[in-house]
Amino acid sequence: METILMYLDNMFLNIPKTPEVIRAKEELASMMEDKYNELMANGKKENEVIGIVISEFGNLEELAAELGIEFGAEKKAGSGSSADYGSNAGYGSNAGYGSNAGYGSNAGYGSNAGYGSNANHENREHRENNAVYEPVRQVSRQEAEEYMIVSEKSSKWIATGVLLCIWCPIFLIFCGGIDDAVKRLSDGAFVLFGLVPLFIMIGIAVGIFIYHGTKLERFEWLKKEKIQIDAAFEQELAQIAEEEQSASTIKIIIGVIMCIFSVIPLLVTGSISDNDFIHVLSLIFLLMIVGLAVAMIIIGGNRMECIKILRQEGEYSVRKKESNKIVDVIAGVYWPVVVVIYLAWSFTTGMWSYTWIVWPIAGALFGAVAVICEVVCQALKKSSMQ
Amino acid sequence: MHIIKYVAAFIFAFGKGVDWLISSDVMRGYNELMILYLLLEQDSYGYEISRRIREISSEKYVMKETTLYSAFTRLEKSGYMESYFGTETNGKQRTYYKITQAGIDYYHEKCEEWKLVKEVVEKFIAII
Repeated sequence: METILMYLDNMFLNIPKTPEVIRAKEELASMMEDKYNELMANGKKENEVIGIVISEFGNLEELAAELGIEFGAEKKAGSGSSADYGSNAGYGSNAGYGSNAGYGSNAGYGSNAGYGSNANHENREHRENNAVYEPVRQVSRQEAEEYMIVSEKSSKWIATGVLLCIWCPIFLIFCGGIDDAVKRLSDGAFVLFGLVPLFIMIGIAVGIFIYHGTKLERFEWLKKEKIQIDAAFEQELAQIAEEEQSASTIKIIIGVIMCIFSVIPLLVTGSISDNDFIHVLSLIFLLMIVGLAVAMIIIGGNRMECIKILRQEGEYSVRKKESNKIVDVIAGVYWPVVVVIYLAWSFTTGMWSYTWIVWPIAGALFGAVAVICEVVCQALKKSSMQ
Repeated sequence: MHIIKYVAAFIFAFGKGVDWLISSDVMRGYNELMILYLLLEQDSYGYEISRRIREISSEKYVMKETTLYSAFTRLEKSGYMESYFGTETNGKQRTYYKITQAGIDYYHEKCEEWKLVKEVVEKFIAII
């Protein structure tokens, strides 16, 4: 019952306490209490009951004329103070709301859509909804800082791993070049100077990926769940983002330009020289440059990416997080089905040389299916708000 | 993208159809009639009225609390009903509503109006 009274208090928060308003609030509270008691007496679960009572409350705008309240004027007053809510970090942690897991199961809960003309309340309601559907996880400053440090360190290692992966065929290519142009190499020499370094480099890279992958794994929830970081720290992050934005962008631009320009030597030598060995050297040069460029992009973009994650911007925004969850669910069903289709088709017809076509088609279709499901889910959500 | 929109609209409509409730917009003019009808039988209070409306409409119409209260204030201001404090056996203080003579007249007026509305609208309802 407290939840309901709290809800009602929130609704009346910005409305002047005239006698009519007080009477209205009392009467509404009494009606809601009666409904609550009866539903509880019918043996329903409390979460469910609260959901029903709140969803059937209606919206206060309907009473505007009777109570002599101007909702239009209120909007301005409300939006001014709504900023305060934004920085009220503690609100999302309202354990009372968050623990009512079953509360959001009532689709009608959001039915006060019309009421939203009051910006302040909308904000509050929005936060409540967040808390209701799934608790917002608090991220302390310490946690956030730790994440940034770990991620920074890991990004350097991961960039090294990627570098190794891109560079790993260099020795083999070089051996091939010597074999062709300078001197025949034995198979043993190929293995020793070409394949062994290749596998060593891949081995090291995979080791790095696994080690740092597990290190970063415990922060994975920052990307997937709705989070709320310390308000002061968020401000700092915004400032850091602003300061470092251009530096990071420049690094990425240089990386991309390096990638594009890396083919130039190969093109030039290819057109002016017939010497295969020079072509091989150009190819090696290309791989070296691309490796460095990719590493640069990884390191250069990491810090901004961290800030994006912590501030829930871009692809880590609350909305995207929701749709990613939907996409995850779809993918979990979709791909096994595709595998079954592929295997069934291949084994029954034996046309393994053609059946691979399933994969590109499935890949292209997946994008479409994901978009459709997302749109449908959003439409359903909207319908439950109306 | 149009196909996506249609599919979404279809599923949307399907989802809505599952728990079909009359929208309060349609009922706007007749909420008062329902309340007055219930008060003709006996004096009543907020939640009881809302529960009776739900029952009588076989759960097809659920009046929102704010809708109900807004109708109460309008009816009271127009002098169609009066309120008084009453105490139930279990000791809970409640505002009870009582219909006035003007309210009874108004109720009959609204009934006549509805008959007319029904007659007119019915002429435009195609048999599906």
